[in-house]
Amino acid sequence: MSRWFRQLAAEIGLDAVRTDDLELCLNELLANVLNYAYADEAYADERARPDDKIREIRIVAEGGAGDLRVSVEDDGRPFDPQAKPSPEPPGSLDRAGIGGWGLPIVRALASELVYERRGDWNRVTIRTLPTVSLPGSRFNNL
Amino acid sequence: MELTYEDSAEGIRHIRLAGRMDVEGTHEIDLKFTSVASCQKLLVLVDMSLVEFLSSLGLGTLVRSAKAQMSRTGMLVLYSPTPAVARVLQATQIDQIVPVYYDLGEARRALVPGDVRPV
Repeated sequence: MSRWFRQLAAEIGLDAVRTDDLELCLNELLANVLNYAYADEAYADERARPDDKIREIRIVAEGGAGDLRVSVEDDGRPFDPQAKPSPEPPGSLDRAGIGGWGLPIVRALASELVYERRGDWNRVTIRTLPTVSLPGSRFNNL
Repeated sequence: MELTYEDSAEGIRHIRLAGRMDVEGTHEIDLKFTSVASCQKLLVLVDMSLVEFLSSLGLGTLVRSAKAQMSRTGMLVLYSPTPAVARVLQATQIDQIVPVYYDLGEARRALVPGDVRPV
């Protein structure tokens, strides 16, 4: 997936920062789908015929370098990433969690995050605009 | 994903990571990284200059060892992350709780305050 996306980004002339950001966001969203979207279906899958176990996850890119939108679609259980509250910044190493960084990364790097439920499908669309400045950091000019 | 390390005379463990800390890459080095960075009290400098990509999973690996060192009264610092990796550290504000340095001398002095050796 990363190789496909980087090739697409090069073809349309997407800048390096947005290429990195979107590639990472896509990886995180895809990991979320693989880890959670079908997590409740283990029992059902055991009883299903082999063909029934095939799932389709779609990654769709729309627009161009000026306004690229990419979507991850899956037919797993409904999951709205926007409905999940944003965790507080850890503030100290003591309070920092080891996991659960995926969605905070997507929220921080994407200019826009849209969730839709279409029939049996989840669709999460992200978009980045040029030069996303991240608040409260010394790395804003990267 | 590659991991090498060496212990310097001033008592700092230099860990060099290279490659992509995506799901696959992180799984490749996670056990070894935890073993060399967490299992005893250490002063750890993690050279991130050859890490091209840092996923949330890879971030968790770094945070776990930083927390382990804090609990052992050791310390872990990150050195020279690439711009893509620095953006992840910034986005999660991990850069505010795990020290990040771009100057090797500064990183060493953070770990060993009296260290004035030439870099």
